[in-house]
Amino acid sequence: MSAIAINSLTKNYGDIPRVDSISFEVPRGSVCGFVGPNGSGKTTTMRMLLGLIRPSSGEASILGHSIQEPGSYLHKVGAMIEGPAFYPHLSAEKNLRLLQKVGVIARDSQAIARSLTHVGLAGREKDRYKGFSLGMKQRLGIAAALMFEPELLILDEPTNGLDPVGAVEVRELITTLAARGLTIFISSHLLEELEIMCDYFVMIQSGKIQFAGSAKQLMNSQELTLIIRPEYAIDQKTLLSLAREQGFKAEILGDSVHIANARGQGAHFNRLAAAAGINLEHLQTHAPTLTEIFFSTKSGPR
Amino acid sequence: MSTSLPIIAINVARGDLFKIRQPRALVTIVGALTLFTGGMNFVSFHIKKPAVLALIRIDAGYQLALSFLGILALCICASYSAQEFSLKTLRNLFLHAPSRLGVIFGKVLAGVVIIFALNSYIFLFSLAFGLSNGTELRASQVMGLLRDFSHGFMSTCALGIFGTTLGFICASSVIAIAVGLLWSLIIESILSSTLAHSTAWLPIVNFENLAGSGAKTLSTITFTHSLVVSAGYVVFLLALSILSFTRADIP
Repeated sequence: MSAIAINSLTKNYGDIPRVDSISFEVPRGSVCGFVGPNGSGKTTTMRMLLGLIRPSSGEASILGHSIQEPGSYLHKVGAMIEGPAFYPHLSAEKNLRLLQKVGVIARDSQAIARSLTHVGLAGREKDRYKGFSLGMKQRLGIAAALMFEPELLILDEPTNGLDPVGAVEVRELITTLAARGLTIFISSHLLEELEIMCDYFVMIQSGKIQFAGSAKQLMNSQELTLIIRPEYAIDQKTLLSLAREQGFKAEILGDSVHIANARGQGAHFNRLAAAAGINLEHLQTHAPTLTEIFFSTKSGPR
Repeated sequence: MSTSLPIIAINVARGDLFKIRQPRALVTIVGALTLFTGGMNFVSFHIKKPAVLALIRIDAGYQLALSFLGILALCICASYSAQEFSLKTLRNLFLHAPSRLGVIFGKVLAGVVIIFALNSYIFLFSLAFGLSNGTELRASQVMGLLRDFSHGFMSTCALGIFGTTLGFICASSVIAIAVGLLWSLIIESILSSTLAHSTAWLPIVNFENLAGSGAKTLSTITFTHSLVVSAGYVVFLLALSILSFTRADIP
């Protein structure tokens, strides 16, 4: 059973679809990166999953429960959507205690201290929220999401406002949580961080899903570029011609020839170059990073 | 595990009461109330200078202070419901107490508890003031005092629910309080003076008449009339809150 299963979910604002009939599943126990540019519908999707806004049409289930009944699953879900939101005049500890009082989960007296320690706020529990830096506020938001030991964690831009050290700490925290079997659905603009953390990706653009699948599937769906650099720059044009004669799209970038969509062609081009009397100084198959995929896919991953 | 509505409402109310227990909020509210109630009692017993002290009702100061408590209740309840929108804490609240109805009823319940505490405070304060200024508390007065107290409580609760509704609809503390005060202090006065026949049906007039046990505002409006009209307004305001909040997206 999937942790999240979405089927033709749509949210319209007026006549404009913010989320347009999206469908995907997030397997249990996975860390799923939800990637897309600003305004692509990530937060709207997450808010629908949490029952904060109602879909215009379509269905979705969280941990096997329909999103029409948020009360049936929200006690198993920790979430931070659109940044942390707490009462400014209360301390970190009191803000979390208030959520404990409001919540329907049996109170664990150690939960507050444990979750604050998790996010590196131990020792700052008595400080008022309004005095916190943006990074500390983010950490408190994550602490609140973790406090009830959820089965599913939904995090919208959890590293916003964190310095590089903080971002790495959050990544390590997420990796630790994932190792415990927690399913994590996370959106972030720090694509390098997502690439390290996630084993599953959902890409969305203009409210439509461009890709949903495992990290391996995502990488396999991408063109691999063969980068070859001859010993002498004068041979670049010959290599370019060779590649084009073979029907490949190629171009010279810097001191190398880049041959697109050349998966498994390294040995072939090595032989061709040798036959043409060209020594290769460098030959590398380059898989695009998540950042490159993100920027190269105006029309979605290929 | 789907939790029942009453449990969620009680939890939300506990959360609100936890918030108001903070020293600054308490000191501000109780301080303002003490100052005003003290002032009203002083006016009742010293400025008016009744010829025969025994003729003055022992809770005269309470009756005067109730108007201030009503405004205060409106502001507190409007602020406590609207601030969840402006601070964006409503989504946290909903994620932990996932029932829109539960959130509304919890807010109303918290308001009722706060109003009961504040109403009791000004009532006891006024009694103590009256006793310390030479009036006597006779056994025959007890039922009357309890009636005044309960009518004052009902009236203030109605104003609190008016504030809560404004908070949910306006989603901004400042706007909700401004609209509440504008309606209570200005618009109703204008309506009363321009459309005399409408007076008996205006909410604040009836809430106040309820507090005065039918004798405070207009002798032409009976207590029973105010009770029924006020109850109608409370039901209408609650329905309005439920309708607007349950259909709205949570920001």
